[in-house]
Amino acid sequence: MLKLFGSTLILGACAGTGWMRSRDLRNRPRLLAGLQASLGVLATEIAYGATPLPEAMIQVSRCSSRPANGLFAVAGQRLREAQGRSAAEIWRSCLDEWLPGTSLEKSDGEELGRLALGLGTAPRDDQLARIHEVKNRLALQERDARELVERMGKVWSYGGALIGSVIVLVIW
Amino acid sequence: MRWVQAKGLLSDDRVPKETIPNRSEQKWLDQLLPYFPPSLRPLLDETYSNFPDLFSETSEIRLRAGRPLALCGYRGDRLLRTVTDEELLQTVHLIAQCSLYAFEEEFRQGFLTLPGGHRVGLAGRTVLDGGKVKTIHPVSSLNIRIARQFPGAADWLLPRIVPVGEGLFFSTLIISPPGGGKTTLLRDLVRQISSGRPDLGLAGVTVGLVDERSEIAACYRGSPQNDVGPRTDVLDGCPKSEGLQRMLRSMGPQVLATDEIGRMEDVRAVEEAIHSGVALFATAHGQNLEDIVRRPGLAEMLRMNAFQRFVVLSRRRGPGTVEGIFDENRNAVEEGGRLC
Repeated sequence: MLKLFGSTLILGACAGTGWMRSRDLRNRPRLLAGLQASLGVLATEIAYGATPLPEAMIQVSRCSSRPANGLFAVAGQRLREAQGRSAAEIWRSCLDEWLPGTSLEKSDGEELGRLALGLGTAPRDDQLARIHEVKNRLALQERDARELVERMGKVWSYGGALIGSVIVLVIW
Repeated sequence: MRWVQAKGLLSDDRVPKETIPNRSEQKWLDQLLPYFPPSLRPLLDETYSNFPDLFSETSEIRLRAGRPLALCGYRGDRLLRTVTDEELLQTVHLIAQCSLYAFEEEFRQGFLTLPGGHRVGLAGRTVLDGGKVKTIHPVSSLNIRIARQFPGAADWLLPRIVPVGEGLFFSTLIISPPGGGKTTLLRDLVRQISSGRPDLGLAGVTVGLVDERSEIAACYRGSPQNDVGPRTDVLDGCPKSEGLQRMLRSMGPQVLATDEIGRMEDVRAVEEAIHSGVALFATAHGQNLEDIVRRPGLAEMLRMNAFQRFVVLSRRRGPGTVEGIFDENRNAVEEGGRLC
């Protein structure tokens, strides 16, 4: 009985891990695409509305889907209560807190972190150029992520359960 | 209250704490404190708690990197502790809401307006583009001018610019040196003309206000922060020469008002205004009428009889001292000596 319980537990854990990894792989390109759209809104707010960053970030959060909206909402709120801290510092700290709770990888975070360079302190044209650069880099990340989903998505979906089965057979 | 030039606070000239400033005087500090970095807020709070008279006497707060924070009033300056580069940068971030790109035009012009109408003058290293100032970077000095309105400042003036015969108002030029109170007087004049003065039998009329330097209405993101009356349309940040013509073409004002005219390019706009049957209220820098005659643009306006009344102010007995009111022939209509 105990053996059966243990085997079920191993099989469930392995299958669950595989499923979660597969889900993260599938979510990543979606989130990267969503972030590009959010950056597009941010660029519009800066270019045409000359909206100050706190309001622009809040506006972007309203137009973004989860979980990207959380990043911009918190950044906007913290910029409102900046107390003299630079926008770059605030963006980096928000990103560091937000990233671990998402399907994104460290390299995606590094690309998003580039937005901090000159954020709020550069002239409008430079600001827009930086946003477009980050957007383009995220597009490349998204393309890689989609390729990874095609190659590894099913491997992780079924791989977890298969590995669990193999372990159970070996133990049995 | 003694105003001294001193480094740090002097304990011996403290005034009794029971001298509590009224709430309207305290309001400007509440509005401005969030724009100072957290390290400077307690210093300002403490200073104003210990010296309540400063509330009414401070007209400017100046921050200069590596130099003392200065509270400036018409009686002198009070110097507090040195402002660090970091503190000045933080103040710039707070004032610009971490968004310098959103204030590019303001940085190019060298000033921006805060909610409440307080103006922040900027100085530092100018960045040029094609020989013109593109921006100021880095900013090394800030001058925060505290906005104060004096409702009623034009009470005495309005009856003196209403003609007995035809026409609504005499076109009037208010002349004073910087800090003499000409903008304050013009602001209240605009408010009263726009609101109407039932005691004088004057109904409110439409006023077109061209506020190139945002000093009269003190617009913050397009909305006037000062009371300029219910029938006043404000063209904020627009060059006077273009703004006066735009107002005439698009808003149909009965009265036009603007600050600090005198350049040659203003002459044409003024000429167009006076020939459109509109009364014009304007201000100009100068000590007296002779100064006005020496400036080519203003001399040309005088030749055109653009103004029927000249109000000369000075700081002789404090800002807003009236030195005299003169007619178009430069004859005194009223002798000076009074305060607005």
